[in-house]
Parts: sequence; C-alpha cells; structure tokens
Amino acid sequence: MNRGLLDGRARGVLAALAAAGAAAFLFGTQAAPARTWGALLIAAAFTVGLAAGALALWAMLNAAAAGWHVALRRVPEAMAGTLPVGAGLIGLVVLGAHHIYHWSHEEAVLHDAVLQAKAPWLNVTGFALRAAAYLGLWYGGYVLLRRLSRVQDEGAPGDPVAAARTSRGVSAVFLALFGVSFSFASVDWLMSVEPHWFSTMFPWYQFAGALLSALAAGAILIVVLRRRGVLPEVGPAHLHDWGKLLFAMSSFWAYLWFCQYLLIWYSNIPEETAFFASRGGGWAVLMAAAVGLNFVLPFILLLPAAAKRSEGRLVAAAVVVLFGRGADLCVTVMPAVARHAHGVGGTEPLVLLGALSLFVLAFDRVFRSAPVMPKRDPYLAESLHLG
Amino acid sequence: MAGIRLLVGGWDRPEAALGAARAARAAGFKVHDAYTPFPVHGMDEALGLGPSWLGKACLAFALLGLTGALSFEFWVSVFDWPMNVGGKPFDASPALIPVAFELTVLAAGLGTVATFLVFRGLSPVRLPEVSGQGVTDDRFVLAFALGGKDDARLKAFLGEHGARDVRELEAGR
Repeated sequence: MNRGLLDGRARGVLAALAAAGAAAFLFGTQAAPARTWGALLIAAAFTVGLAAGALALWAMLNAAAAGWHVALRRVPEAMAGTLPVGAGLIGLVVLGAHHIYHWSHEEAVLHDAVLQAKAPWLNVTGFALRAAAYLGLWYGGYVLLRRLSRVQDEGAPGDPVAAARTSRGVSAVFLALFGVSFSFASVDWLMSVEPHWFSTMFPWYQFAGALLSALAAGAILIVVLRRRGVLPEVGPAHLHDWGKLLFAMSSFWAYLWFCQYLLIWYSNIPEETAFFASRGGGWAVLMAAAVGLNFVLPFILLLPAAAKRSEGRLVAAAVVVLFGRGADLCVTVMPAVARHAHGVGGTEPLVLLGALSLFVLAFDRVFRSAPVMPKRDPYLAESLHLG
Repeated sequence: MAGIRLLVGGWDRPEAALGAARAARAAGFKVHDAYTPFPVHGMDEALGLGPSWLGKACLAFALLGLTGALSFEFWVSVFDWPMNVGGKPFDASPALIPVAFELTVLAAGLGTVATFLVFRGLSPVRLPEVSGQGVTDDRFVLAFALGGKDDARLKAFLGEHGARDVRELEAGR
C-alpha cells in the first residue's frame, strides 16, 4: 500500500553498514574497550534521541491541535516507532556500564564520599530498572498514540473525530510524564559519565539536542520520501513549516547550551567548572564543532525564508545538524571515558553509522506498516490546503 | 491612496475568494487589495505580490541592535567604568552576550513593526480604505481599482464568480 523509504538495494547497503558497525564494536571492545563502549553510549543516546525527539514532537503537535503536519505525520510517527532499536542499544550500555560509568566501580566508590552519597541512585541495578521504566513509558505512549492515529486511516473502525480528541488529551498527559522521565534519563545515561559533576540545565539541553536531531533526521526522511513520490501531498509550505521548527530548535539548543556555560563560567565554582575544564585542550575542537554545527552554520543556512522551502538547503542544514549532534554527544561522553585520547578514533564512527543504519531500516519497516495519509483525520483538509 | 474609486465584492469562504483572485489575475485584472479576517495561505501569490522585503529590514535592525549593544557594553566595561568581577578580564565576552542577545531581539522586533507601520501608512487616525463589508468579521473581500476601460467587464466578472455585496466606494470613506 505504500512504497516506503528504501528499495531492496538500499536495504542491503544499510544491513551491511549495520553489520560493519557491529563488527567494529566487537573488535573495538577488545582493542580499545573504554573508547568503544563510549562510542556505544553515543550511538545509543543518538538513536534513542531521534525516536524520543520525534515522539515528543508528535505529542506536541497533537496537544496543540496542529493541522499543518497531518499530511506528513506518519514520518514522526514511524521515527518514534524505532524506539526498540535505541532501547536495545541502551540494553548493551547497561551490560557495559562498568566500562563507561566511573560510579559503577565499587572500589572507587569506597574511597569517595560524594559517590557514596550518590550510590542509592547511581548503581547498576537502579540504572537498569530506571532505563526499562523510561523506555517502557515512552513505548507505551507511542503504542497508545499510534493506535489513535490508525483510527484515522481509510476503512478503519472507530470515530476519527473522537480519536483526534482523545489523542489530544493523551498527548498532553504524556508530555508531562515525558518531560520528567527524559530529564531523569539524561541524568542517568549522559550526565552521570561525570559522576561528580552536576548541572540543572543539562536535561533541557539534552532534550533540545534530541528534538533538534529528530527534526533534522525528519527533514532528510521527508525529502527522500518526497523524491520517491511517496508523500505527494507535501509541498513547499510543509517544508517551510518543518524548516522553521528546525531553525527554532537550533536556536533553542544554542540558548540552552549558552545558559549552562554562562552560569558555570560566571560563578567559577571548581566542582561545576570541572566539566568544561576537562573538555579544553585537545577536546576544544569538538566543543567548538558542536556549537558551530548545531547552531552557527544551520542559522546562516536557514535564515532566508526561501532556504526553508528548498529541499536542497533544508537537507544540507539537516546533515550539518546531525554531525553537530554527533560532536555534541562525543564531547560529552568521550572525555569522561578516555580523558587523554582526543579526537575521534577509527572504529567509533562505524559504531554510530551502524546504529543509524538500524534506525533507518526500522523506520522503513514502521513507515510501511501504515497508509501514508491518515485520510479520515479531521485536520487533513487543513494540512492539504497549506499548499 | 484615498480618492481612488474601488469596486469591492465579498465571499463567505476563503477558498472562493482565493479562487476569484487567481481567476481575476488570469483574466488580466489587477486586484487592488484583499481584506480577510485571517491570513489566507496562497493569497499573496494569487495577488501577484513578490517576496516581502520586511525580512531584510528585520536583519538590518537586528545587526544594529547587536553591534550597538556590544559596543556600548564594551565601552562601559573596558573604558568608562571597569569593574573587577571575580577576577575576570574587563572585556570578558560571555558576560556581554545576554544583553547583546536581548537588544538584538528588541531592536529587530520593534524595528520590523515600525517599518511595517510606516511603509503601509498604518496609524490609528487613518481611515481604512474598505470598511463596513464584514471584513473584520467573517467576509473575504477583494477590491479592484475602477476608472479603466475594463470597468464593465470587471463588474460582470465579479458577478460570474459569485461575489456578494458588490459595490463601488471611494477609498477611505
């Protein structure tokens, strides 16, 4: 019923990339365990962020009773449906927690008053249970919203108007739960790589990063699907609106990044500045890349109105942002697991590339499982009139 | 623009007004302006309006606010009244950013609105060109300038396209 994103050959290439990523990971765990497990955490956070960001975006659009996006809504839906891929990678992170998280070393905790005080929260059992709870909650939200969205398909049983109304309420409640659980997840998975460090801005900065990367990946997927003729109703006005969200979220990410940096720089308290101090020197290049690729370059690329309506410019900015997300996660995680090995090693990009290939394969599978257009959606007419 | 004769006609649905505007352009009529209760997607293309240059004005005001704020802060904190804050250098750039950001947004916002008001000639004492046609309520109105040789054809055109309350009026009365 729907030609999907990939043909047989593309699927083969992506499966080969995923296999190469798995091989690079297995080889790396023997050759350079610290950096490789760090790369796995980066891949897991990246992939979960794409699904969770798309899920949050979808819920926000529902809660706001938005109409413009209905013609392309199945794209964020299918992105959210890839959550099991990221969940599997987080499962691997739990298995390798000892290689990644300093707080998982019992002998280190014994001689460290701060880590002892944090041990009731930062322990492997709690970490695993909480990860299962966050991911379970998000997947539950996905299943519920997806079921309500499928009611709006042609020939489906049920009342589409009632489903849209229910979906609005469910999304509002889910967003509140998501905001809290995503904050905790950011603290668990990413902030705790530096277990002595803390920043109340960190979860929001991670949320902006996840939503930004999801919008960027979504832009690329929408353009590729359009080129394949799968989204015939999506026109320049839809791209324009999507591009505006991408542009806004890029600025929002920079705003939060700077809010965190400014307060730490200004108060100059050693336990807070340690995070940035240990990311200077050889790491400063990656730090600058994260800010340049997530904000400066996309800002310039997307500033003119015509740029947001152009497929090429939108994809260019989206690719830049995805590299920025990689650099951002890398400079967050790597200095903690391998302080003196600057830069990016040989096998690590392959681990991320493999994880992203799995994401695209899963996206295609979920996207194909439903009609492209929720034909009975009460807001569809509004979306089609957008032009 | 006051003083010109306008022929106005209204529609109840935005699609109908949009379709009439497109048809009018295709038939060679120039639509003087469209009056709608909310922005109608595609109306600017249908009227043949080019891209707005308001964005460029916005950028200019933003750059003015940015450079103004940065140079003022720099002058104050380095030359006029240097203060030692936690041993940081006088020209510490992160401390300048929040004010520079706010003034950029403020200058861009106010400047864009002011530019719009001045160049559209909008002010509280100015009479609207077209009023009393339900344009502030639920009616989508197109106005055409009269006085050409096509006046009769124009009236027939509006009738054909189902315009209601077609009437002539003097702009601004």
